[in-house]
Amino acid sequence: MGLSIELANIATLKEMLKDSIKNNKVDAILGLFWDEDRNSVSYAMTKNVENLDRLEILCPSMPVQGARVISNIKFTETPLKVLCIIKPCEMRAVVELIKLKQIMPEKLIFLSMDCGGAVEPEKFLELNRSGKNIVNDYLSNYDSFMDFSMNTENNRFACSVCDKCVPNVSDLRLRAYGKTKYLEAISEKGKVFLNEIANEQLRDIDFALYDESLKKIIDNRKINRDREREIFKKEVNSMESFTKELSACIRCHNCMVNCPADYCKECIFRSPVFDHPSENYELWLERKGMIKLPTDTLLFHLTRLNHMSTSCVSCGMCETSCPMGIRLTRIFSFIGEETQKIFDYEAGRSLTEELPVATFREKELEKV
Amino acid sequence: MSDFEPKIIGFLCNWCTYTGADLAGTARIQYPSNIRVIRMMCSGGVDMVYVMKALLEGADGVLIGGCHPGDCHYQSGNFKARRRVAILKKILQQLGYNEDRIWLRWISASEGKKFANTVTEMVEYLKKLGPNPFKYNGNI
Repeated sequence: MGLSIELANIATLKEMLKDSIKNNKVDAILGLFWDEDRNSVSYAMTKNVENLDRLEILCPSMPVQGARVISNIKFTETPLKVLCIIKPCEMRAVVELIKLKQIMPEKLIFLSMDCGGAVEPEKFLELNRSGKNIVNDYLSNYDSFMDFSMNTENNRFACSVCDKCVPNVSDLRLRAYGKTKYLEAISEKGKVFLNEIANEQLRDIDFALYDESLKKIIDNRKINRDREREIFKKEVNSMESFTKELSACIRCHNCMVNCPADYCKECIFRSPVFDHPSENYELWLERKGMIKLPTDTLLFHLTRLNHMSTSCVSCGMCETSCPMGIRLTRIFSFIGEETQKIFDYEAGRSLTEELPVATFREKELEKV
Repeated sequence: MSDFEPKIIGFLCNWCTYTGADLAGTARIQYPSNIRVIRMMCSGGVDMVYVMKALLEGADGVLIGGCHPGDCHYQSGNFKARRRVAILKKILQQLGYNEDRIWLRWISASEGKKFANTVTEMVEYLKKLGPNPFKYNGNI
């Protein structure tokens, strides 16, 4: 059990973060910041204390995958010390990207929270514009120990089936449920940092009651996940149904661009390989009688499944970014679960578990 | 479909299976001509995108041939290929597609006979299985 401090409310934490910048404990803070008219949030990094007024620590939106923007700023090692406030699924993606050598974590401190889920970013914007204060609603769910993602019709699908809503690899964990919040150091680095920024002694707090209530929330989502998985596996159980599921795909590559696990800069789908010579279309017509355009939509998704499903953290950014509303979360999360199981792997679970595709055992898979 | 002749795309490793196929040829061992061979430097260089492309384009089967475990010219390419094939098969399985259209076999440079037998066996198997449903499907 990690050492923690008590926070009277979320504003206390923000004051602490302001002090951490003032006292040079960190160089910058990365998190979700409100735009000028407080309608939408976006990721930003700041070193100015006054900007932190616009920071939303518990925010029901995920406009892009945090791991992706962190990979942008820490692709190579730099002295900049940044505190990153991200959701648990983003943290899991960070773990994958660290293993893939796309994030250099030495100077980063991660603060993640017990997550209440999010709504789709366009919904977030719409609700705010229409004057509904969704963040207040979100926070009051937290205060009364309720699962926001189960209490709203606006939830993201990925969040409603997420049973990994607690960070297990991070430096700091914000135990956000209940009126009083706690900030817990769950790594050695987190402990040192928390000691530096806290105004009080770190304490060994008993979270038995908290954990018990949290388990109910997680169990509920687990049930939902099992149910959705079962429905999905009944609906998509053949190549015909899979093709139908993807029939709306326009191959815009948005799912790939926004997926934290699709990091590869030499991706075959970013190359001209699929700019087929005009003659090919004639051959297809002759052979197949009909050819869907743009071509290779099915191949695109199957390739993604092969290349990244072992690192899929079930964040649902693929579905969030799909302009056609294809049910990508189900496809990648539920199929990825199975490919990860072959190697007893779980994406984002631990920094020491080797990536399945980067390693092998001499004695395994005898039947393949 | 008695007159159905399956088409197999073979991704063969240069050091073992391709040389084994060569041996089958120079030793005049007969095997069906249903296989179209693509020489790879290593089975570890066979990205599953090519395997799927072959299937979506209508190949009835894909044979990936590599060195026996421990014999890889590049130390571990075949072990990595084995993991990739395991992932691909798991995905296809869940999508109700017969993953046995893909064969991963270890055939060394001296096993010309084994290569010929493998191709013969695969052709027989695919004849029983029938044509790949993607053959006439334009939704690729």
